[in-house]
Amino acid sequence: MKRIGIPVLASLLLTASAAAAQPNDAQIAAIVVTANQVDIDAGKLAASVSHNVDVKSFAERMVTDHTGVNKSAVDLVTKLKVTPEDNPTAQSLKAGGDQNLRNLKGLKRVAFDKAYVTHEVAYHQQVLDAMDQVLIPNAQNRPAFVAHLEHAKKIEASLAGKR
Amino acid sequence: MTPASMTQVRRYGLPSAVTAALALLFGGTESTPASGPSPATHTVIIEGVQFSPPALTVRAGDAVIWINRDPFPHTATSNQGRFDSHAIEPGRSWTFTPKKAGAISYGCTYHPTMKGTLRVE
Repeated sequence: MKRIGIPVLASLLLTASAAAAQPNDAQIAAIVVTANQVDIDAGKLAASVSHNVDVKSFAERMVTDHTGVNKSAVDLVTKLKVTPEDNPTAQSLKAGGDQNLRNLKGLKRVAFDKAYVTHEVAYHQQVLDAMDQVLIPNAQNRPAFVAHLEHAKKIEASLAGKR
Repeated sequence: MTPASMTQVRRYGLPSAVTAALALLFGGTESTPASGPSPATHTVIIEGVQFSPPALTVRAGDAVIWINRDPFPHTATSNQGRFDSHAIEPGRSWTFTPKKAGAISYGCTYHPTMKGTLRVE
């Protein structure tokens, strides 16, 4: 299976995070919004392409949940009068998301499902790691990412034997 | 007037005609024995993709209200078909009043990691 995108996303996120100083609130806001948007975009593609009922409903759930998380994040930064500020971590997340979409668009059926779900596992783990190490320990939305990660792992296991 | 305060009225020995009139005015709880506990309301908070508390014991006739504090929808759905809230949108709640005793396991149909139990006595 092609795994283009995941290592790139991972390394870029970590490199950018490690290289940069602790991001400020405006930068964190941009990272949060971008991280959610990347998963919304992948979810929309998977919901329309996948024929697997579990993958499809997971993808729809990602669109709904991350849209909700983004709405609450935007509400919060608006209330705090913070304007999201683009930064290398947000940019690398976006680049990784775009690369994932390009990769997925070249795949069909089971190969698509596996690549999408495997990327979802890596993505949610990556965001959790970033939350814990760099961004916001005890972030309010952390449990949602944990639940999504466990859900994605379950589907990944169910797809393992399929060809 | 709440059922509890109605009980208070009776306890303080008001004439039964007054009690009956009050019962007519306020809906009354005459069918509930004065000695028995009034139905209670229990709250389960849904937050951080979890039911809190995950295990709850109530009496038959008590109300259980699930409040969704997450920014996306959840459900409270019993595994045995006893109840299904369907989507509880962010900031909304859903109430179920169990009538029969027994243990009910439930979850969120959207998030398989979410689990809860309701014990009805």
